[in-house]
Amino acid sequence: MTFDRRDEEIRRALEALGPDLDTFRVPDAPDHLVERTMRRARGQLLAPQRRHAAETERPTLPKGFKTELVRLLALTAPIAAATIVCLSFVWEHLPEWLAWLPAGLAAAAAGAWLVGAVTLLSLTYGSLPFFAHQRVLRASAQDAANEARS
Amino acid sequence: MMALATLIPSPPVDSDEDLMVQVQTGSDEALALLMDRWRAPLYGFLVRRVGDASDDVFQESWIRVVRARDRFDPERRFSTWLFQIANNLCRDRWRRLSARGRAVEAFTRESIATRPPSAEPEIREPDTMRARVLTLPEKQREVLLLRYYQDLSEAEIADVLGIPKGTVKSRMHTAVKSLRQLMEDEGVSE
Repeated sequence: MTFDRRDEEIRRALEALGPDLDTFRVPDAPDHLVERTMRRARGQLLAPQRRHAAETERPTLPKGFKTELVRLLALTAPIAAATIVCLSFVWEHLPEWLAWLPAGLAAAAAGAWLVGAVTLLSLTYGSLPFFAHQRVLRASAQDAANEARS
Repeated sequence: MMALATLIPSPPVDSDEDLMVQVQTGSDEALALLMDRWRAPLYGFLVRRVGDASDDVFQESWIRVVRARDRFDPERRFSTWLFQIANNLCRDRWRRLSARGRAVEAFTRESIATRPPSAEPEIREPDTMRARVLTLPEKQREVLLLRYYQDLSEAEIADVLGIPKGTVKSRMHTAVKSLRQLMEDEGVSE
């Protein structure tokens, strides 16, 4: 059978079946279903936007923070270098200085001294970002106050 | 007053595809408009296609529309895309049900065999067109519904179902033949 003949046959059959097919009526979508669907779909639609908004609202570092941190690091670099030189000098001579102590006690004292020195350095350098942040905030608050005054 | 009303141009009506582009940019108003336009045709299709499950599939279809909005090609017709999504959901559901059906088939057969006779008479659905359409095999039914009730062209049906136009024609032909046969068997004259 050719397509044209078949098309014609289908068309005629549908026309003939039409009145019967039309008796298969269906109700309209209930309003509560459409409302519920719209609510859920809207939630899906806005979800990425909310996520994006949350991302943009994430606290960011104040302007000038990096510069201030680098400045503080540069300021403390000579102090850090001097401290490391001192520490290594002390470390070199520690066995002589602690020679009068029993061996176990001397090792414990040297270990405690080493841990203390490293902790002190870590705390000093670890707190630099905090100080930099505080200084930048204070500076920008000061600028704002000066602007308001002028 | 009449003259003035005719002088004021009516605002241009956005096409479905334009609205979908707005949905892509996050407009929920455009989504509401689309849903309002397509609620009746889509729900009608689903009721005829999956019966009682139409509510769930209706809801899921729109959720899929929103989730897949970035993949919508404005060069394509929105209606074709919407029915494709809905029809795929219907197919998934049918596959799930038939898989589950096979698993419980043995149990059901057993429980029917051992069930005590019911006091209430069995309710049998009358021989309506609804019953006949629902009797058609899945593939014939979807073609018939899209062609007759949704008034889609053969090309559009082919697009929705992802099959060649020739297959649409042959399935349509078989569906119509089956329906006529069913009616003849029931002694219903056309």
